[in-house]
Amino acid sequence: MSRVDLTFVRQPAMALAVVVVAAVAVPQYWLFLATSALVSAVALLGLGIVGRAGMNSLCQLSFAAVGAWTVAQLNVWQAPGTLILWTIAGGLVAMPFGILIGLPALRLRGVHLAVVTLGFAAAAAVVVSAVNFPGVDTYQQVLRPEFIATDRQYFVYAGLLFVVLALGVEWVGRTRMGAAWRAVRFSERATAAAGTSVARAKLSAFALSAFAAGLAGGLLAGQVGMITAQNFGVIASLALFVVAVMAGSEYVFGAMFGGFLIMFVPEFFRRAGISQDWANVLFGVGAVQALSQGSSIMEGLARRLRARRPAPTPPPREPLDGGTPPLGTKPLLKAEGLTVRFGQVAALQDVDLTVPEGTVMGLIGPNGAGKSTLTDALSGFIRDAAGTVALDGRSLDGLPVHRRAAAGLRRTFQQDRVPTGLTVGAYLRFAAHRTVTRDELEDVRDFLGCPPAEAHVLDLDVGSRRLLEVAAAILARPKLIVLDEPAAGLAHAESIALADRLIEVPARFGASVLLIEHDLDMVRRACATIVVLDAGVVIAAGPPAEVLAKPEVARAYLGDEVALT
Amino acid sequence: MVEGAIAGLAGGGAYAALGLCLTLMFRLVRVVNFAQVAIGVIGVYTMAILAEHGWPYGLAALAGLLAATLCAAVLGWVMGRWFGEAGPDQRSAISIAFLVSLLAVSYLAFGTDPRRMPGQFGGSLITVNDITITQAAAVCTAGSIAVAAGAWLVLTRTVLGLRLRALSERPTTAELHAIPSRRLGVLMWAVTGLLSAAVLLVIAPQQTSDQTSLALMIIPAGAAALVGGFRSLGLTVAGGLGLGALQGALAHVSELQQYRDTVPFLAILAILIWSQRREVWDVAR
Repeated sequence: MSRVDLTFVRQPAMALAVVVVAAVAVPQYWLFLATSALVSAVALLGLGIVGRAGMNSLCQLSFAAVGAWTVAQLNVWQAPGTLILWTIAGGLVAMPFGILIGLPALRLRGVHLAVVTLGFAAAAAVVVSAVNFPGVDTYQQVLRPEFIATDRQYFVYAGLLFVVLALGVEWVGRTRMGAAWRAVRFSERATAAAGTSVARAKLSAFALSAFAAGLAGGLLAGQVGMITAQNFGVIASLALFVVAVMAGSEYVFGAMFGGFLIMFVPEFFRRAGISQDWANVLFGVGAVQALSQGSSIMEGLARRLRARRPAPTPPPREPLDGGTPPLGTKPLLKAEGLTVRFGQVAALQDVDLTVPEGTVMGLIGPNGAGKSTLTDALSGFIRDAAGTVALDGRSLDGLPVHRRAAAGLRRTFQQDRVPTGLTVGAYLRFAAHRTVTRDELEDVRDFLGCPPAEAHVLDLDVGSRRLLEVAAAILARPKLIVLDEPAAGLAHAESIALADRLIEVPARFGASVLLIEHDLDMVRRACATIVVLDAGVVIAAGPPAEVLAKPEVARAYLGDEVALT
Repeated sequence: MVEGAIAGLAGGGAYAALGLCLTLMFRLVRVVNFAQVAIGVIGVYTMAILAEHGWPYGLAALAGLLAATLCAAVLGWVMGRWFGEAGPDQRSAISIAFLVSLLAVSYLAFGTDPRRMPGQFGGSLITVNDITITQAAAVCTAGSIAVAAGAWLVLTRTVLGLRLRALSERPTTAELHAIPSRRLGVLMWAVTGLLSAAVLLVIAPQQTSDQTSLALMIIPAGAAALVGGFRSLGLTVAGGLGLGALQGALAHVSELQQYRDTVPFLAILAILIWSQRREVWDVAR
């Protein structure tokens, strides 16, 4: 069995140390401000979650207002469970709002989503200032329980809450859900192709982010006792976003540092006799600087630390004779009458394709023949493709991409689509989409000669990333793997080595392989049969030597004149 | 109700014109410029300060326009200098940083006290059947339509427009054809900055507004631009005017009055859910 991976504890543990030291060392005068910094840090942790998923949220304080409102209402009702349970309830109540705002994110990305979240922030500000917070009219302070009544005790409570939340975020970040967030940020297509629902990844990120914001709102309610709409302004939400970009709130320390900046920088300016407004100027400049560097302050630090311990490069992959390609018999994938049109152009015309079980089959054709369109149609990316696709007797028609992947049809991409935010091990576990043991993971990694599990994808060359994508597809134990030009970016010797490995895949991992390639040496070596596609039509099929000798195949590749001579 | 809707056209025209700025910026320099209205705020507050110091209105307004144009050009230069290769997401995130900073700068330069905004279009234009059409409503509505028509003419009929379109559709190819991308980018920023300031010069005196609520007119402007999908100039104008009219009409329904500023958000949501109902992937392949 695998060792328990405890690296996720590292950052929260250090944060705990900071909180403990601060709880003893911070003078009474600064305690209130330090607690406010922790409240902001909790909200920033939440922003970091949507940030991991590559989405911009400009309404974090609106979710916080929901949390604060909940706590104030429970306080008025004198609900059981004291402030601690009320705060958690505040987080939970904020979650549905997060999902609601996340819904447009399923179709929208980037800037359009930012416009929506900003609109929500403004609308929420209007509503919040129109309806008073519960208890404000009757001057009912939010009551703290006895053991967190003093400022110092409340600071420790806020610190512990931050550490617990940080632990949770770091732990979830190590799970497949956390990996899915980073994958969505890098490529939605690749995420779906790895069997993960893009919708679920985005919504879960928004929900958890709103939960954190709700906690922050509850914390604030307990801290100040009486909350008003001024605590949750639109510009404050924007400033929070800007600081998150600057400090790097995807990191526990980034969130903590960001909270510190938001609260203490204006205070320092004030004490120095300078206008507090300079703080927002500074944050804006800092964010622009961070974006021009391509990394936040914390990410820059993390990269520098990583550069000190570079991952060892694996030895070059040697060609190993894998034997002769197996010839399957029983049909596994049956596609009939596949037709795809882009306007007037027919990219695929009535294509029939059968891939047998337990074989490596090649699919070749000149540029523009429709190979990648076929891959897209099989894997479900083209919703209006005509024709039927069945895998192992089960119809895949109408299924979305991630369900086809879960049903056992995996594909890789021509372009590099391995999320750069992950380590090799995390990516493999995410893409496997099932629980894999360490031995299993090492076995597949070793089989293809991929870099070690601790290496970061960001540090890998293109060739290694391609192999990693193939390894991930194999590790998922699908019935069929469609490889879209896996050798692009590999040296010739390496693609031959890959061919030898592919021959072993059916027997060793129980999956058929449909190999789309331009490298004919590789195709000859790896494939038992090949299919030739030209201008959207199948023009030949059979054993490689026989098919490649056909004049119509030569004509498709080289043009009429060459084929005739 | 109808009177309210007509009165709302002043705001609607402003949303439309600002939405046009957003659409043009997104189409031509690949950024949703969240700081678009904040740039105009700098202009209109410069005007207010100078007018308080006894400058004649015309001169003060001119100085305000100049200030906004310069401010926009500087921001555009920063964007082109350091983020020329960045995608729209990143550029828009930067514009959010610009917005936060610009507002702070505006507080530093002009203070946080409310200012008296001298203006030119306070009175009513005509009254038909007891319904008054204000000058501001007429100017904003006609102005936004004129701007849309002008922008359309420039884009489709002039060499400059051809170059701008080339730059927006195929930036690298355009640069290989010796089209100066950075200079044109700065020009676009400057022109839309000027336009934003001009819009605010008309609209700011009509409402008692502080810098923040003026700058947040970016939200209804964004809603207008979304109606046009950040592409169509005509639909953007229609969206802005419609939104303003709706808000104006709601102002006359007393139960909803205090919530009328949530209209842009609801409009944004409805538009997006409708226009994005088909599945789309992040990249073509």
